[in-house]
Amino acid sequence: MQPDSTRDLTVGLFVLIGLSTLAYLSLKVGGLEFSPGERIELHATFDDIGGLSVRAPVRIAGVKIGQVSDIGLDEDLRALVSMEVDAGLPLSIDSSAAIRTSGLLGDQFISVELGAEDDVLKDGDEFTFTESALSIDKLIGRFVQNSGVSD
Amino acid sequence: MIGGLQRPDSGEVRVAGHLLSALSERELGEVRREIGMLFQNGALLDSMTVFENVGLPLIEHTKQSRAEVRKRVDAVLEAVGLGRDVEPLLPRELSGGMLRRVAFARAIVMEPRLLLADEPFSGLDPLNVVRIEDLLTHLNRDLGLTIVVSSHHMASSLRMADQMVLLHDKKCVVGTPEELASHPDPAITEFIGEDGRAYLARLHELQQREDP
Amino acid sequence: MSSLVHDLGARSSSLVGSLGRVSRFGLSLLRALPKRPTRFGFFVHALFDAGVLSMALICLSGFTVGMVLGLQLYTTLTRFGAAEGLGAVVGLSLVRELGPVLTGLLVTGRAGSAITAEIGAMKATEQLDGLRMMAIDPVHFVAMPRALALTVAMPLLNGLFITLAIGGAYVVGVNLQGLDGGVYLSGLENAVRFGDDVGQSLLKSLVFGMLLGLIATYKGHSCAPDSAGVARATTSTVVTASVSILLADYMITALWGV
Repeated sequence: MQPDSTRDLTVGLFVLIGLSTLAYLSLKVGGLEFSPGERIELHATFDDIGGLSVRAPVRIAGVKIGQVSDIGLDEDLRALVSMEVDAGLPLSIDSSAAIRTSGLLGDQFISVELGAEDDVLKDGDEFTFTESALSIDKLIGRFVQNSGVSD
Repeated sequence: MIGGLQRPDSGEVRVAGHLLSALSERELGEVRREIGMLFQNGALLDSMTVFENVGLPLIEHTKQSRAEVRKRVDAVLEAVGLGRDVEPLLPRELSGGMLRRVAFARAIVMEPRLLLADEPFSGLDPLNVVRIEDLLTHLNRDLGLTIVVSSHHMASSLRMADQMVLLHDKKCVVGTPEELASHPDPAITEFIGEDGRAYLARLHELQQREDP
Repeated sequence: MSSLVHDLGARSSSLVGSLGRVSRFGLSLLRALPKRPTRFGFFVHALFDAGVLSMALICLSGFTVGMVLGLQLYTTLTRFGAAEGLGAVVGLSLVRELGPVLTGLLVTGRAGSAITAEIGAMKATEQLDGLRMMAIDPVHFVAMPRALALTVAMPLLNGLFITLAIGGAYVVGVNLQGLDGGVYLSGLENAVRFGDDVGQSLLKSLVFGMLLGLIATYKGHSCAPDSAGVARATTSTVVTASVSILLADYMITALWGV
């Protein structure tokens, strides 16, 4: 088999293009991270998590800093959410975690709002202040109730 | 069947003492390195050039360097009357006679002890028939190669053969060309034909003229 | 009635027989894989035939499928006031199902049939017997590089198909219909996960590539050595490989737990 340099080149290009599309799908679309970096685990309890699911993003001011790693119930049967968050962020211990929705029907995520204390949250700590998911059902229910009373 | 490509329904085939039907495909490979085969249509790999086709057994089975392979390929191609200019051509760019000769070159490039030739003369012009005949005779007489030829080309067969086997109507007849020409069964003498007998008679004359 | 039972028995025994022959051929392919010499040159050649020559078809089909998806889903989603979901729906359906399956079917028609026809023609012209007479294993020399090339080319073409289709849906959804580009892409990126979705896609395309490689080379090797036989074998490759790909797709999806 005589070596054919044009053919070898196009085959090389083909493999390169194929691999780069796969890399795009894995890294950008699929969100694969090779070196996740240092992570700490934080917990928060909510009365109602709405439609929050595992791997939902955790954001500060809209910027993603981590994701939900586990959802369960604590002893008081409240929703216990564990999340992995980038280490090294100075999250003061009186920060609050709220469940928000992106858009009207979009995915739910946890939004962290910073507090004022100097001490910061460490691995395994729990958020003191939380705000449950805003449920459209409940909103509508409350609205109907209110209008009923005023009549 | 002698090459072990097909297994016999009954009976056994022995080549150089090896019972072929008892061998695995890998052991057959060992035997086949001693066998060169000339296929009717050449059976050259049509995606490879003439040089690659002829050099393939060398590259596969020997540790010869590129230069040694080139030398050997040049030599066998010259032996079949082809120049170096055909080496970069693909099989489909060759004429039938050249194709047959390239296939011939590939069959003998490993210096086999046994050469099987399947219809080496069919579909060739008379000039090429003579050329192939000369090659086969040269290999057999001068290099001591055993050659098995299957052919319908009676004139060539009668000219070359030491032993002939005629397969006819589920029977086979074995003998030298002379024995077959004077065989009592009329079917066989008819098969050899008028031309064949005339040729043998002339050959006989020539030999008698030389002998005394 | 008895002839019906007889027929059923004959059919199933021939099915079992051919399955056995295919698996034996697959085993010999696997055994040929590590054998020396490595046939890298043939592999590159086969990768050119199976991969490079399929690229134009895959790009065009991918982009078109993406455009159709964008148009269909955008209109449907708008009816429910959920046009922002376009990225998520397009991404999930493409990565999980449409990408690997359509790529598998397209490559079957484009490259699988060609490989069967080529090997079948080599068999019909005694080239495979010629190799055997030269003590060269035709499975190692002819079939293995081609089957491997299909297995390697399939995931790469799958990635190409999905990427182009995402682009096609972007063009229709964003540029033509006026959806916000950021909403489309972030919806896509949030919905598609590497482990579940991209991983499943890669596994599927790899399995489809191996299936097609096995079927295409087996059909070529086992075809009747004449032109009608080559034609039958080529058709049979397309039919068998397509059905196998669809069946395997269902099985992988079911076993993955969706």
